[in-house]
Amino acid sequence: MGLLEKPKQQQKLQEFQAIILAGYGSSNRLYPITEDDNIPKALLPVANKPLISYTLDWLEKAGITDAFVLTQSMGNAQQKIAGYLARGYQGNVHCNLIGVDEDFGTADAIRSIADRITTDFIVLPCDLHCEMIPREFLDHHRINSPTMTGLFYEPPKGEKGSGKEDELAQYIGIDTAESRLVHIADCDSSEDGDLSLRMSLLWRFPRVKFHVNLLDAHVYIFKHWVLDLIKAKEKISSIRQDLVPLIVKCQYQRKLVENEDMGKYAALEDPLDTALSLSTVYDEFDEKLLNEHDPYRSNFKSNIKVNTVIYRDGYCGRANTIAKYSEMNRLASKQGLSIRRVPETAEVTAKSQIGNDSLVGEYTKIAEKSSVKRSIIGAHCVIGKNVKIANSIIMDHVVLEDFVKLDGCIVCNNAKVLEGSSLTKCEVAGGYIVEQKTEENGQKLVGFREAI
Amino acid sequence: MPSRGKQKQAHGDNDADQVLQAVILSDSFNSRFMPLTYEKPRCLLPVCNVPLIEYTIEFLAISGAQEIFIVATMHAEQIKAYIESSKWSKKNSSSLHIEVVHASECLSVGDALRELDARQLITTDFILVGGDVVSNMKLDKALEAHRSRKRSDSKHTDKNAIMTMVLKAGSSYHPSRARGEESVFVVDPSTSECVHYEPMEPFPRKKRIDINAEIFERHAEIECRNDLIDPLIDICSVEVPALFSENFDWQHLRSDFVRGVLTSDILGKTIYTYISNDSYAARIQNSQQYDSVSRDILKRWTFPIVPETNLQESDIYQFSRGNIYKGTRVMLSKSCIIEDNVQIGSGTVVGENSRVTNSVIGKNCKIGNNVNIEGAYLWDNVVIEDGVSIKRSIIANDAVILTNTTLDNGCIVSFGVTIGPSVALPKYTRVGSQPQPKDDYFDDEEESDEEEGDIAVSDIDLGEQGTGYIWTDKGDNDEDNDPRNLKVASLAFDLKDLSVGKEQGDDSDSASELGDLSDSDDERDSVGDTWHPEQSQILAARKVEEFKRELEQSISRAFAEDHTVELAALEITGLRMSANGSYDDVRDVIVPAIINQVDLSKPMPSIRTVLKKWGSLIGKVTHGKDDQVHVLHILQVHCADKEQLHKLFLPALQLLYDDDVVEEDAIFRWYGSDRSKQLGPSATALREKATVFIKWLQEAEEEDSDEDDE
Repeated sequence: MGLLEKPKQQQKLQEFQAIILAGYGSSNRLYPITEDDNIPKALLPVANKPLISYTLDWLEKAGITDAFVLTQSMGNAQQKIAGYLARGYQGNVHCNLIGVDEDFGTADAIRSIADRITTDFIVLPCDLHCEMIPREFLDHHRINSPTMTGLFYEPPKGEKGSGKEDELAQYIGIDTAESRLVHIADCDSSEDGDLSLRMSLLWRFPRVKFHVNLLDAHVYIFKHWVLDLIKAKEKISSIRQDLVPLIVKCQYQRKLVENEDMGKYAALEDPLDTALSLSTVYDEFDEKLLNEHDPYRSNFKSNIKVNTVIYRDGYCGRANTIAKYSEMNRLASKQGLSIRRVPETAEVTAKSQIGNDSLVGEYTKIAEKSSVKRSIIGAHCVIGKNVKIANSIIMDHVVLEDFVKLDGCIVCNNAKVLEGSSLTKCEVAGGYIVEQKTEENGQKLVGFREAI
Repeated sequence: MPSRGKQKQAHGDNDADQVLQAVILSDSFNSRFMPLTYEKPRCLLPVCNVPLIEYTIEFLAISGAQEIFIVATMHAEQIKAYIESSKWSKKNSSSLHIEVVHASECLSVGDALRELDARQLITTDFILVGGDVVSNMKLDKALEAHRSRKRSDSKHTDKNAIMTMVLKAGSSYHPSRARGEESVFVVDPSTSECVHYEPMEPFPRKKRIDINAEIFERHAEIECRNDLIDPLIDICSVEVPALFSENFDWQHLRSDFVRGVLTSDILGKTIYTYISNDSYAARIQNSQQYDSVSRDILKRWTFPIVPETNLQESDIYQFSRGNIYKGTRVMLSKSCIIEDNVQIGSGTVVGENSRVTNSVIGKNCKIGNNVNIEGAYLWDNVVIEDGVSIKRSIIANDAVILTNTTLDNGCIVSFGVTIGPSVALPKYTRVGSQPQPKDDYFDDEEESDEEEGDIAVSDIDLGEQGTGYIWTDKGDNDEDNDPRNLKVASLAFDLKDLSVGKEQGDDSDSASELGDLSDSDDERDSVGDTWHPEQSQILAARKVEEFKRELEQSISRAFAEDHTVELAALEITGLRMSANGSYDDVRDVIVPAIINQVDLSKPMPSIRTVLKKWGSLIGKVTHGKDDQVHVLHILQVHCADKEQLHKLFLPALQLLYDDDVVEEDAIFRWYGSDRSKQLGPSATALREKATVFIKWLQEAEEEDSDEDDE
């Protein structure tokens, strides 16, 4: 099998550099499980592997070996991620961890490292788990060579209801013929939530499909010149809110292109134009005649192009809310991502039941007569007798005393649930101690000092 | 096997008792082809030497229509005579039954359909087309799709489906799209249900369209299509004419009916589309489309409907290379040049050194020497003398163009008119054989004084021997249609000429405005909206007046017939909604009206009974403190107006307060407001009188709060 082993490549020419945004976005949607006393979002366990490892694996599959990981320099998130990348992470992606100001938007963060990006770049979130083969996505970009390619996915039917309140629905307009992204707007951007379209859009792209059920995976590939745009325009603060809509609109709004002086950044790069200008048979006059025939037609042609890929064939999701994080865990454990459900180092008494849709972490002890169903238990946990765990995520170093009942809960690192408590749909913050015989439903159990 | 046979039999039976009906709305209900349509209905105008309606009937016949009703308005007798003499009326020709329905009163498509409903001619689903459709489409699939929605066993059952619009996929700039009347169809791609319809005339320029968010609750995915050609071929359910009768204000099939149905919450009906990608379908509703469809026929896009298939029995055309069609007995001189896409009718003569390109020439025309005909449509028996040059124009039967005359782009010369010699008609000249009627069907009063610039147009010289009258563009009968929309839709129209129009002072937005279609960043209002700002204000004021008058009538009826308060309130709400009136206006009217009901001979008991009943009506149109203050102001002004009403003010105030129509806060505010002090001496006197009441109120309040303290 020696032939299949790839020879170690010499510093090969990078096609894309990756930027992973770790710890950005409105992380209070994950409150309290990403607080400082627990772990940053990037390290939240999904099937007992940190979230960011899924993104890194995806990059590795895509053949991208150079990534910048951007995180807040505030708090201990940077330190923790650095620890993981240095010791825990075993893949081949070379990561450069960079801390940035807490108030920075996603585009601001990229602006701060713009000088270190030398190629086209791909921006990813740290909370993505996508079954799509990355090559399909990259190839789409390579074939069409647009300014930007974005990835969207259709959430699984069941998830829609649960994620609705957290995720702002977006109107997404996609040109049918060229799968170009031509419209993107939050559903509540106009007063009554109506979809409001410019006529110029429909003249430029006569057939546009509009979706409300698609979600933005926040995976974008940009041409390198977009960095110049970000650098020059301080007002672009967020990728999703500012940069993407701007680029999308520049496909058809002539005035906007002029006002923003996009031509300066987007140098003539349309390969077709280049080819035509070199062609000996192409007659520019013909083209003119064709257009003259219809004076309606505007001769405005933007060389900005936004393509999109819609992934529908399998699971794709982001753990950006509690509900979605739980969902991702549930799916990950069901799909048998790790074959060993109970590692050798774990001590599970024979009388306890571990469902085969559950996972148990290293060195975890489970006493007798406990049952674990559709749940994930982290490493170094101590679980008492007669404990019932269902639909829950138990992180590392958690102590569950006897007769504890958990259903649909997330228990963070180092938390303790004392004897006889019964929690349903609760999140227990890191290091929190749940008193004996507590009965709660739908609460966030957080220590006082964090609530400030 | 036998069961299968049976099924088929049953199916066959089903078809048999469903005669496929079709309705042709022959009239255009507009004046776009004037002056030609002044003498001949649009559906009988020749397109490639065949009357337009032949194409439509042929299309319906191909699609299996068995019974056709032609609704004729203008020139109905001509249409009737034509149908009676045509091949369709001959005994042996198929089972097609054609009936001309004479509906002379109709002014719009809506009227025509109401007429149909009144006559109860429609018994099944039917095909509704204009009398101007040219198509080679076979409707069987669309019909099947329409019918299957009604069946419960099909994939997408929708019993509420009432119409299927047959559309043709093209491109946004397709010449067969009616320029100036393009529209966007928003369709659910999975079911082809039409969820939104947006007409988008370029003037006044439309910048945005809004699609209701509710649509997305029912459709996860919708597709906006600005690439469709709408040939106005609709498969309608039998209830469509009845719907027009119910909604008597619907005039247009698309902008009223389709929009009405799609936006109505009450009707609960749905409309579907059937989008054809391969066949040809277009309609000729303006001269620009006359041009583009004629070319399409010559270029054989409409195959098998092309000249040499001889739609009319008497025709025999020969097809030769370069899309040249020649009838019998055509005499071409040796030196003449017939270039691409030319059709020449039988018996026509073309002289030496003449050149004909991209044109249709009718029967028995005489074309002299050194004539240049480019993109023109000459009908039968036209005489063109030597040295004439004609570009992209229409010349009707028996017209004569004398020597050395030039017709520039877009001229229309009507029947029997003579022009020349040696004159040049400017672009877009329209010459009628009759003078243009001042007051025809489609004229609005306003328009006659609007067209002051016409004098310049009428100066056009028709030549020494010229006969005929210059016609000018009249607006459509549609008052909200911008005249420029008609201009862009006329033959050979060049957008550069748009500023020729006399309406706007600055030429800067006109052609350039259209060129700017692609960008709409500047949000300034288009010219159309700023034409007559004062007029619109006056109009709005007039509307309010009218609304108030109606309200008065309604409320006095309520008093006279002693309606319940609920009924009166309902009526007021209805009026308010339909006139888009404000609550302020409502209060302005009803407060005085109610006070006037008081019998002044015995004021005290009377006002008590009146306000006991009607006070709550004021309450129903009064929302919040501001409104209550408003009520008090009205009351004050009204009572101050006449002396005998003075004494009613205080009791009214007291009673309204007792009924909780006005609360004490509002009374204090009214009392303190500057306005109450500035409404004239008698009104101020009334305010003074109220002081006692105010004091009493204040004391009562203090007591209240005292009680609260305990």
